[in-house]
Parts: sequence; structure tokens; C-alpha cells
Amino acid sequence: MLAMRQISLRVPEQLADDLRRAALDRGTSLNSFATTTLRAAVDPDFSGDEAERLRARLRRAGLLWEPEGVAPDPPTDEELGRARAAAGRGTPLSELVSEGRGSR
Amino acid sequence: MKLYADEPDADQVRALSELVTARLARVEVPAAVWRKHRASELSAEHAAALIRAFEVDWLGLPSRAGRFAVVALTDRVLNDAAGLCATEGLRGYDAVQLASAAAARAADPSCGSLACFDRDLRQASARRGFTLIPAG
Repeated sequence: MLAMRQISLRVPEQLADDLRRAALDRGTSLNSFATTTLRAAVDPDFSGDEAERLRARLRRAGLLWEPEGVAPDPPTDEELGRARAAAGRGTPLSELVSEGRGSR
Repeated sequence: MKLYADEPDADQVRALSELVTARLARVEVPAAVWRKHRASELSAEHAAALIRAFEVDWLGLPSRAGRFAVVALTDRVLNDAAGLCATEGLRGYDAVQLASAAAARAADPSCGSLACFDRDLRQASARRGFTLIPAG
């Protein structure tokens, strides 16, 4: 049997309301929802999706680099499609990467 | 690179749901794109669009995380890469890529596939037990 411990948290009223609503939406108790959410915060295997689980495992191993900066506006789908098509002609980008790594 | 060019096997790479990359890619991808531009094979406008797409994938947006999980250049990764230069005869940056992939796999065994297109790196990766993308 799993040992249980009771803890008290002070959270903003709005957060408490949001947590109750989120638990209700999932058809579970506030206690169960909060337990699941807190477990995911400390155990990668309980994280929400595979990408986040992967990041969590790398982070735990001290391997995750967290990029800093603000991304530019993304190109539109049309801009990206045209650029990808143009880049697909001529010398492959992967070959240019290899060239950039120097001679063998 | 297949994310940013309509080359053979691009669909296979784009279909991957989780992408792990070495931190070196932050420089190598723009370098290859601008190299293609300098070779008069890509307009400045198209190069800039690809770089913007890459930087969005790298940094993410307020509404979503970046596309890549980036492996840090730790001492261990660099030491392992140095060893791979000796044991596998790889060039320095190729060795960093393989060492980063191996470190990621050690942290998460689901990282068992490696998308690469350089012959020597592919052979070394296969010897190290990675499933190659594309296969063959």
C-alpha cells in the first residue's frame, strides 16, 4: 500500500477555481488531478506527451540545452513551400553541411 | 536539413514526431543555407525564409515549444566525440553529432534512430547500433 502524506498549498483563488474546473472537466477529483499534475512535474514518465517526456529525460540527465532568444516571425506556408522547393534543386543541403565539416 | 529542402527522403524526416539535435546545428544549418546562396543556387529571399523557419523551429513560439530537443555540448559529449575521432575515424563535427545522439539515447532509449546522410557518419552510427534514416 502506498504511503500518503497530506500537504497544504496556498494558491491564488483563480488558480484554485481553475484547478477545480479542470478536474471536473476530466471527471476526476481535485486531489487526483493535482496529484497527477504534480507527479508529471517531477517524473518524466508521467509527463503529458512524448516530446515533453523526452525533454524531461534529457533535462534530468543534464543534456538538454534550452535555447534562448525570440524567434522571428515564421514564413508563411507559401513562402516556406517556395523556399523549400528552391533549396531542393542543385547541391543537396546535407552535402553542403558535410562540406562545411571539412575534408576527411 | 531535409526539413528545409524538398530533397529525396524529406518526407520521412518531416514525419518524425520528436527530433533531437546537437547544439552544433544552430550554426551548421544557417551555414549550409547561406553557402547554397553564395553558390548562386538559392536566392537571398528564399535563404532568409528558410533561416526564419529554422529559427522558429529552434526557439519555438509563445504558443508552442520548439521543434527540436537540443543536446547540450557537455564535457562528456565532447570527450566522447574526441574518442569517436580515434575509434571511428570521424571528422570533429561528425563525431560531435554521433556523441550527442549516443548521449541522448543513453538518457532516453527511445532515441534509437539517427537521420544522417554522410557516408562515414552513417557507417559509424550503424556500428554503434543506431537505426538509420533513411534505411539502407
